[in-house]
Parts: sequence; C-alpha cells; structure tokens
Amino acid sequence: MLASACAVSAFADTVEVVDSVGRVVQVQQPVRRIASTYGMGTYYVYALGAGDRLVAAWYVGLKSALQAPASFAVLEPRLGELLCSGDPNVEDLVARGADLVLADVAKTAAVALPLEELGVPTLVLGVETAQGVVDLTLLLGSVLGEAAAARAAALVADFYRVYGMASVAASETPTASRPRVLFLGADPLRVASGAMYQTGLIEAAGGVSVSADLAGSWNAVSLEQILVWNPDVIVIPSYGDYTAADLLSNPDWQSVHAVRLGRVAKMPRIFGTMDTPLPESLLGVVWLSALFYPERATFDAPAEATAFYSAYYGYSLTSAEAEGFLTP
Amino acid sequence: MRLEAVRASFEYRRGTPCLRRVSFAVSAGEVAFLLGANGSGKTTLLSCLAGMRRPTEGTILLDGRALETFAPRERAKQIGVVPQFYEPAWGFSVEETVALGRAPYVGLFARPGREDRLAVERALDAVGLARLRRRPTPRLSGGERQLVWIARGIAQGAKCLLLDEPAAHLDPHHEQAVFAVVRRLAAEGAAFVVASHHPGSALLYGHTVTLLREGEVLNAGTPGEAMTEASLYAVYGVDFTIVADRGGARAIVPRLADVEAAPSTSRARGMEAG
Amino acid sequence: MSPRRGTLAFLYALPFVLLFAALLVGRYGGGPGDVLRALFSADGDGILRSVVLRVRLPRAIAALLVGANLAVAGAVLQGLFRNPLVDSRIHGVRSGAAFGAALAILVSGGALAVQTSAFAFALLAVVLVLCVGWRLGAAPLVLILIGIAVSALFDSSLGLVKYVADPLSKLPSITYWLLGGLGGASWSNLVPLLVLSPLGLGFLFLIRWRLNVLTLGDDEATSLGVRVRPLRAGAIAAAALLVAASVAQAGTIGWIGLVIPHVARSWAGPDHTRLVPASAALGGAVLVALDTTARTALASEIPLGILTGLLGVPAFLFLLGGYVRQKEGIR
Repeated sequence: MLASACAVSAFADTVEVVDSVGRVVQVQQPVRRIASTYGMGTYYVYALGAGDRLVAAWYVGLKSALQAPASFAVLEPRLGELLCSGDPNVEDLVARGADLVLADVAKTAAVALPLEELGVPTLVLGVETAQGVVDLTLLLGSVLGEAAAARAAALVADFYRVYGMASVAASETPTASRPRVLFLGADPLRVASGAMYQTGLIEAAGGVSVSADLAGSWNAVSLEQILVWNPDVIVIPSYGDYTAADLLSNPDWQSVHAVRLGRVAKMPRIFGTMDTPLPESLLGVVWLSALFYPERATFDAPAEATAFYSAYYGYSLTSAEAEGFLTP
Repeated sequence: MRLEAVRASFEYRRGTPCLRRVSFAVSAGEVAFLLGANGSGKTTLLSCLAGMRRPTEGTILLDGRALETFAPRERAKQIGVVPQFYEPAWGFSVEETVALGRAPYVGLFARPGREDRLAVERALDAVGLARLRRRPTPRLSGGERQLVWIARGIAQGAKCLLLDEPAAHLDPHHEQAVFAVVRRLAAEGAAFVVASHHPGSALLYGHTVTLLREGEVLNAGTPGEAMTEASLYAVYGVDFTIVADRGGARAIVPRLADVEAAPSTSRARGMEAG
Repeated sequence: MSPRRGTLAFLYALPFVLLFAALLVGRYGGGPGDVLRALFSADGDGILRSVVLRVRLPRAIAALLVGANLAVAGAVLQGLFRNPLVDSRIHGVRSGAAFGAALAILVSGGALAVQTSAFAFALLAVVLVLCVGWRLGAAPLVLILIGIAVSALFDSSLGLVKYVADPLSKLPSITYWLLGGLGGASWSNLVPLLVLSPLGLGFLFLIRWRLNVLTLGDDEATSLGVRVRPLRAGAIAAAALLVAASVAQAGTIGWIGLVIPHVARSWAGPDHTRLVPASAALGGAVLVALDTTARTALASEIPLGILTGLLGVPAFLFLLGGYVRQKEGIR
C-alpha cells in the first residue's frame, strides 16, 4: 500500500497527508502526544526519534511487559504504562490526550471514525513491502516535525544504500548458483510462503527462497519436503522457540545440506524483529547478505547494527549484542 | 435349594418403609407368585432376594446362609434375574446374549470356553430356542426375548430365577409359551419367584401365592387358599369373581363395578413403583 | 450379523499392508523399487534410506497406533455408555490435553514438555471426572455430565492461554498444534506412545468379553456377579490413557473415535470380542492412509484434523441413514 506525504512546510500549522487507505488527513502541528495502535508503526515512531512523545503504544509481538526482551527496559523505561494490547478503547485514547493516532488497517481501523468525530487526526496505515517501508517512513517523518523529517530522510537513504550494496554483491552470482534458502517459522516445520515479507528480504539479499511457490502465510511441511528442497542455508526467526544448535544436533536433520554445512542461523533481535516490515528490516538484509555471501564481506554486520541503533534509537549495543549479529 | 426372606424390612428414605417385616420362602421345584398393587413392594422384595439391595432389618437366607456373605460370583451362580421387557441397545445374537449368563464362570481376562459353550447349548435347548441362535435379539418377538433371558438365567446355572412381571408385554399365546417353559423347568428342580399383576396367571401357573399390601404380607399359601375375593379386594381395591368348580378354583376375573381408589395405591408416592 | 471369516482376516491384515505401502510413498520421490533398493542393498540412496527409516516409518507407526487407540477408546466408551454418539470428548480428555499442550507452549517448553503436559492434563481431566463421578455413584449419565463440565473448564482455560499468548510465536504454535498432525513424529518422541498403547490396548483387549456384560446395564450386570463400578472405571481409565497418549502425540483429531467403531460394528457385529480388534485394525488403517495423504498430496502438510473431518462427516451421515432405515425396517 502506498502512502504519500504532502508536507507544505516544516513550520506550517497543519500538514496534509494521504494515509494507506487513501484518506486525506490534516495533522495539526506540532504533534506532542502520539497514540500508536498500529503495532508496527510504533517502531517507526521510535526510529524517527519521537518515542518520548508516545502516550499509548501497541507493539507487534508484545502483549505484556513481561514478554519484552531486556533491551526494552533501556530503550523504553515507561514500557509498563505505555504498553497496550487487544482492541483500542477510543475513550481511553482521548483521555490520554492523544493529538495523533496511528491505526492498523488490518486490525484497528475502526477507531478512525469516532476519533474523526472528536477531531483527533487518525492515520490508517499498513505496510507489506520494502517500498511500503520507505513510504511509511517518509509519511511519518512529514507529520512529526522537522527533526523527525530529517531522520526519515537519513533512514531512507540508509535503506537504499543497504539494498543497493546487497544487490551489487548478489549480481556477481548468476541466479542458478545463488544460495537456496529456507526461512523457518515459530516451529521448525513451518515455513514462509512466497508472498511474505521474508521472501522479499531473502531475494534482496541475493538468495533464492525454496518455499517461494507456497501460497498463503505460514505453511506446515513435513521433514521429507524439507529434504526434497534441500536448502543450502536455513534461517530461524528471532521469535522461534528453538536455536540453530537444536537443528544442527538433531539426527533427523543431518541429511539436509544446510545442516551438513553448518549454515543454520537464528536472527538476532534487539528491539523490533528484523524479518517484518520495520525500519530494522534493513539490518535484516545486512545480516542475510552476510549469511549468504560470507566470503564477499560486503557488510560488517555488527558494525552496521551498532551504527543503526545508535543513530535511530539512541541505543548503544553491548558487545554481546553486537556479536549476536555475526553469522557462521 | 431354598431362598427365603426372614422378617425383611427396607426403606429407601428414612421414614418411608417399603417393606415391613416380610417373610417369604421359595424352594426347589416351586413357582412362587408375588402379587400386589403398584408400590406394594414387590420389586423391592425381588431386589432384596436377588442380593441387589440389603434389607435394613431382617435378613435374606440362601440355603440357610445369609445372602450378603456370598461373593457376587457365588451368588450369581445360584440366583438369576430375568428382567422385564426392554429394548436392547445393541443387536447381540441369541447365542451371544445367553453366553453373557456365563459371566460368573469366566475370568476377568478370559472369554467363554468349551464348557461355557456347552452350557449355552443346554440352556438354548431347555427353552427351545436352539434354531434361533444366530438371530439378533431386536428381531425376536416379545415372548421369544423373554425366553432368551430365561435361557441366560439357566446358562448362569441359577437354581432360582426371579422374574419381574414377565408377561407384562406379552400376548396370551406368548405368555402361555413362557410359563409352559417355567413349569417344565420347575418340574426339573428349578425355583421361580414371579412378581405379577395378574391373579389369573398365579392361579394357572403358581404353586404358591404371596399377596403384598403396603409392604406387608397380607396373605400367603396355595393359589386357592391365598386368593379370596376379600384378600384380592384388599390388595387391589377391585372386586374379583372367583369361578370355581368342584376341582378347586379355575379362574379369577375382575368384576366391573365402581372402582374406588385402593388404599395402597394412594400411598404409592415416595415408594418405588412395584 | 455374524461376520465372514474372510472379511475379518482382510480387516486385520489391512493396517499392516497400508503401513508397508506408506513407506514406499512420499514427497522425496523415487518409486517403490528405489525404496527397496535403498533399504536392502548397499548402493541404494542413503538419504532415501534415512527418509524412510527416520521420517516415514516412525510417522506411519504413530498413525497406526493413534488410529487404533482412538477407535478402540471410542468403541469401548460407546459400549459402556450404551450410546452410539459417545466419543472421548465427553470425558474432557481432549480438552485437558489441549490445555496442557497450550500451557507448555506458552512457557516455551520443548516438544517433550508439550507432550508430557498434554498427557498429564488429559489424565487429570479423567481423574477429576472419575473421582467426582465415583462419589455420585458413577452412573453413566452422571459421568457424562461431569465430563461436560470438566471439558468446559479446560476449554475456557485454553481460551485464557490463547488470549495471553504472544501472537508472533506462541499463538500460531498453539493453533498449529490444535489442528492435529503427525508432522513432528520421530523416534525420539514416539516412546510414550509405543509404551502406553500396548498397555491400554492390551487391557481392553483382555476384558473385551466382559465389556459385553456391561452393556446390559448396571443392575443386570451386577446380578450376573460382575463388579460394575471398578470394571467401568478401569475401562474408562484405559480408554482415557489411550486417548491422552494419542492426543499428546498428534494433537486433537476428531471423528475417528466416533465413526470408526460404527463402521467396525457393521462389519464385525456388536460383540466386543470381535469389535475391539476390528476397531483397532480399521482405525489404524484409516489413519495411516489419511496421514500418508496429508504428507504427500501437496508440498505443505494438510492438517490431519481436516482430513478426518472431510472423511468423517459424510461417513457419519451415511451411517446415520443406514441406522435409521434399519430401525424402521425392524418395526
């Protein structure tokens, strides 16, 4: 879904934008209190440096503060009071004094109408592709003030840089010799289908997804089918309950090429998950590219991660966290 | 063999006695009828005689020994229950149904063996159902089904069979057929206790008759002795005519008159329906 | 009503024939000849041999045992309760197992923890039903009602678990598990099923004639010298053990316990001496066939619960029609 930003001027009283469903919304400036009912949108708000303006937030993959990884405590000390889950309560959002509300086109779009009546600008948003990530970044940058707009531009520039470098590195290998990659899900026998964001990341990083012709979202497969595909590389998402070591030591998986070569890796996670359409997904491309083409050394993944989190989240990775970005 | 109740009392709930100091006995070769109105305690007495319920007072004796001292299997080898008509849940064949009567002889983890199969054969012959052995029981007539339950009781090796209103759903032809078998088996040494509503049947087929009213024995003796117009009126609240000839009573017929509510039926609530 | 020897012999052989056939079929490719060569000659495909022995074989055995367990449990419960509509759901076994598995997934237990938890809660459900029921006389109707209450208890608890589960990893795992499937079967996690199935099946097989007596109803069975309460409790416990072990391995799979006994009964008759082995054979055969289809027909797995439903519903309606016609025929 495309969204376009029509900023008049950074110091104008209102900014007019078009959201993901085509609604034209006037956003009063400056925006001081943001309520993000869009689980993915929340991470964009942080990346653009507006995290301190949140008054209520839904976080994708996080239903309670108890589930948060340790890094959250540093990045967002107010997590306990900000974190919401389930269906949003319009009155509660108004009570918190939100002057901008982000809604999820797939889940919480229903709040847009009552909030409109109450005069609270609401953006109904959705993103599914890399282009969508870029567009959403620019859109939010345009409504959140000058500093945020500058951050957005920098982030988008980084995005293009990373995608460009990965593409160049991959182009040296003909498609037929590119690594064949299997992206697993929360369970080792669940795999990503062709339509999912993960497949796009794999291709951007110069790999070929073996499960690309499956439809829908997550598909269950048998071990036999995995043996038929016989991938060269296996990727485990950060939200999988198992580790690379679990697969490498499992006798039933020994016949899989990737296991024999030891090329099984689990995505690290600091803040958002790198395989979903978030700003972090550019690190996803970095990490995957390093995983697929270790000999090319196109990216220094730990360094890229450290720079990214410092620039966009104001967070310094510990050395352990940085090492988590190394790939086999 | 001899099965007797000695001053047995039973109450389902405190204060509502169903049987009051009832004494009753049946011996080998005897067909003993129990007559009484609904709620008079017939079925309760049968339950106590079968060992299914323990009298709150008094005792049940089997060959002089208290029934409760028998292990369930031992008791089952002596006393059998022939239920009233009911619709079987599954279509077991006649043979399979009669074979169930061998339960007291078959171990927990075993199946009927050769001896058991012979006993089943003998039982089927005794009631004359051998040719129907493979027929599923739902496809039998009411009278044939009653004979199957009796055959099951025989396969059990029971010396005394307790029948609860066996002719309740049978037409006269089938009723006669069933009782013909009962009489024949009694002549060969079996004992039968038959709970019934029909004084006429008691007259035709019984050796002894016991009349129950409100849980107490009103009268007992041979059919001719026990069943008089007065005693039958006391039990049923209906006038009966006893048609007699020089050889003793021959038929008992209800007389169509003003039927007033019998004292025993008005107290039927709270007691198990007899 | 008496079954022909030939039909029964065919029925008893069927699951083993299908088990062998299942080894020859799969996504990995290669025909039966390749499989036999991989298994028995030195120059066969090593990976194919590994696939057959490590993936297809444990899975087919699991399907055989789960099918047999569920079918026998269903047949026994139908006889005990004299009700053709009974299956293990009434005892809360499936609800308990589902809750146990979901709970284990929620706290990130491994596959072994999930299996153990599913099994433990399934048994807890049955123990609850039997204990409360025993106090109240263990009459069939009472047991059914208590079973419904216990099922409802675990169903709502399951709802709570799903509500708090993280939607990225835990909730999909729970949903996936509930759909039922043998995709995760391997030698390492098959041991409980391999141990418990012979125990439960063996016990029910040994007491199968006595179960006939129980179908007469409590009073008559007691008059035949049978101790009704312990026997019924024992049979329910064995059936519950089989269902718990099966659900712990394969998730919740419906219709097998309900429909297979009916089909087996129409071939083998209601006598449990033939019904129990016939249900085991038919249940095992059907589930092996369905599971082989589930893992071979498409690149992605078809959830087993969906296949059993697709087969079970029309079969049930067909049987219902025959039952109604038969009833009217008698009258």
